[in-house]
Amino acid sequence: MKAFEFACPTKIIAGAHALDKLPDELADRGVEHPLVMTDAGLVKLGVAAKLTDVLDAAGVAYDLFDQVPPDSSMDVVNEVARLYAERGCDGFVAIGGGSVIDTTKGAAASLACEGVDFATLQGSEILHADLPPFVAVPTTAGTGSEVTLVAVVADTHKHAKLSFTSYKLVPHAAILDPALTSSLPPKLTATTGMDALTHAIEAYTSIQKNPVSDAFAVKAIELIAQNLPRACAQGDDADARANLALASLLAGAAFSNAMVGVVHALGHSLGGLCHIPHGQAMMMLLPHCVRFNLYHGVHAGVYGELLAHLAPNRAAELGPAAMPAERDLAFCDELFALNERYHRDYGVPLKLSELGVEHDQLAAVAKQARYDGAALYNEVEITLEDALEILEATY
Amino acid sequence: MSDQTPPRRTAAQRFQALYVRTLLRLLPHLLSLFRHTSPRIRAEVDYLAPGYTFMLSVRGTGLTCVCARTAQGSFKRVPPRAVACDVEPGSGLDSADKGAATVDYVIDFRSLAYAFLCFSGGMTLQDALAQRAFSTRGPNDTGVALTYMFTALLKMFFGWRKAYRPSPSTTATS
Repeated sequence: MKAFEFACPTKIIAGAHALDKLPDELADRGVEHPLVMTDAGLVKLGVAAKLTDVLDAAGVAYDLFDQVPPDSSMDVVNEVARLYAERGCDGFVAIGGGSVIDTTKGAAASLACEGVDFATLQGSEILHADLPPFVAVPTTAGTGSEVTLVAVVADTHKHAKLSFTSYKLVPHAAILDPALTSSLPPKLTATTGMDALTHAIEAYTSIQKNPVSDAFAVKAIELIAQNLPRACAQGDDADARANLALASLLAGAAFSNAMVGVVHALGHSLGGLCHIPHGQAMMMLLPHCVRFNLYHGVHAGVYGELLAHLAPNRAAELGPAAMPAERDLAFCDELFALNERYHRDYGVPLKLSELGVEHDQLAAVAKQARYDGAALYNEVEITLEDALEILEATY
Repeated sequence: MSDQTPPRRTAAQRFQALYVRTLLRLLPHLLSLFRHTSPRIRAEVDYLAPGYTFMLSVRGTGLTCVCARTAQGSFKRVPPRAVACDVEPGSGLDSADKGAATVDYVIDFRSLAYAFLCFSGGMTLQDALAQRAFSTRGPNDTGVALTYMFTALLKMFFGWRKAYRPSPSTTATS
């Protein structure tokens, strides 16, 4: 067995009314005046109020930062760290998607290092100081950021997504309450769910995969396959929402320890240069990357191992005597079929051209993807030609 | 106050330390030489800006090598006394000492055994990364370029070793 490390120190509080336990979680950590982080959209939709109402009812004083943009940047991270110090806060509560939680990670890390610029902490395992108490409350079932050691923040000057990894960046507690995701529209539910699926599949095929991350990834794939169509079709299906949130968390824990690969390398680049939302990029790229890999003999037989978890009926049709290559191709077909389904039913775009990406941007996207941090965890080196071939297929 | 005695090293460990020290000394020369013969190494050197400086270190041994890319695309060793000590290597911060060299990127092996395995071809850099055999600090993109560059260099020497031969399930496209 290859040497590996696995850590998931986050306390998980899941299920209906889980949010009601937030005041106790804060009290247990000695937090009396948290900084609540969110975005303007969640305030407008009344989702953030579900959390602040709980704090108000428990008499917890807090400050609110509700201006995290969808593509958060270093400037926002440093602004939050300044605000936290100015207001005398003693902990963070982040309610939102990946951008909100990752921005909070950045600010918390900066504060843990006595206010240094977060940009100076790029790399792996640099952070040695503990973060201030940090409770993450995801409102999408996709990023898994509530349990990951990764923070992705945009460098707006360089038009690039920068990733930071450290076991110290993992939030201390995660609250998964289905009430927070019930109002998510089907299109966003689909793209974020496919983001979680991408995490699980890439964790399962990464060079850093290990038996523990594999177990998390496989369970995540099963839960997504069973619950994503239900959650899209009926948003208020609390059971499907709860299972999807759990799947996202499991996939997050898997990739936090196994890392990701070519899909994320290209997705980060598309996010940085073309401002394509992360989940949308993952959804579009995933089947094309799987097809590309299989065509070049990469992960042969490995994708097929996941077929029974993603599409049990298809696996049963093939039967136990099916060749590994048949399972691989069936797995790839299922991913394309999922995309087609969400495109047909909810209008999710499947082409880069539909999202306003110019063809002449592809070369720059390919170059940035080759040098993205996620590229290192891909089984094979991502050449410019490989990256361009995948982007052309997705265009 | 108690004095801590350094741990006793076995003969094998002393040999490993000597081997790694020698390789670190040779590293800038090897990179400068093989960029002429290897297009893959040259491509990654070209990605790094003139003046770009990286550090390789081995935790617990004091073994360190700092190299800077010259305007001509070769590498030169930076003596330890010339490295800025008021900013952390890899932080991207400017030193108050304008004459000192600041390190852009750090690869820090977590033990001598890991460094020896990598530098002797017993383990690929990719496997070392997979096993978290080293930590890094600095901008990701140039870290990726360095990894590609070192992989190409190590493969030139150790391509014959088992660690570098492709596994049956994987066919590299590059």
